[in-house]
Amino acid sequence: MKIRTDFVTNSSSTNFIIISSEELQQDQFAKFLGFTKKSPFWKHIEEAIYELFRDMSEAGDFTSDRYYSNAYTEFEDFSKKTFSEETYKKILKARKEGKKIYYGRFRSEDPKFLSFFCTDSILIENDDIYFDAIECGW
Amino acid sequence: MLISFGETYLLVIDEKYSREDFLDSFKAESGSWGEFFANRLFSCLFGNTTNLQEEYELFYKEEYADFSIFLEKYHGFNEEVITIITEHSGSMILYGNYGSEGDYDTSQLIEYNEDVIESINEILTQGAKDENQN
Repeated sequence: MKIRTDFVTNSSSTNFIIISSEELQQDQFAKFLGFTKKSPFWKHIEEAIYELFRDMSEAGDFTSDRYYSNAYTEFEDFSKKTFSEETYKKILKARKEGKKIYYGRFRSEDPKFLSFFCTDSILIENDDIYFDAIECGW
Repeated sequence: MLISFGETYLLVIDEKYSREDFLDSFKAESGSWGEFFANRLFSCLFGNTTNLQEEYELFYKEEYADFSIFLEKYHGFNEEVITIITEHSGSMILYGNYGSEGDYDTSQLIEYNEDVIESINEILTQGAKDENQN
């Protein structure tokens, strides 16, 4: 008889895309999400946005991204296979219009809001920013 | 206030405390995702709780001599928690289980993060301060 005393976790990740009319700033993204500095939750979302910005990449850097480039030939291939048809069309349009496109992934073992973004289904947009983190929501 | 015990929690709150009070103190922009999240947070905490005083009065008053004994013997709360509850006898005491309302993601955000619980308490006590000032 074998007895296991450790456990296996089912980690998950969610890819996301952010399309922005211009170079995206952290305070701009916080405002887009609707958090104000007066909120008791400000420090949590500020921390999450800092880490999101630190870890995300621009679409132009995709071919040098070792994590993704093994599975996808180029950014369009990744976009088409990862996101919805609606988001894929927005990405193609954004590229033609010269908008900024950022991508990355959230992991379920990330802290607080980043883990929340991983396991939840997030799709938020306004006239300037489009944020899709629906893929692989639990 | 929110008192967390691993998978379960107590809310010691004024009986008139409302979703509007919570949203006012959360201070997200109206119509934003932040406000949507704040609504989920409120629903997660308040959506599926048991009012302990009502529970005692309706079902266990004959079995347990008084409310404190009921809290100790039936729910297994320790002396410290029972003291907090009895010191707030004018408040509503709600008992909940994280995730029981069905929002796994929000419940996980609260349950495993002490500093998120602190922020929730900041929101809940802000509502109480505003009420006293009015």
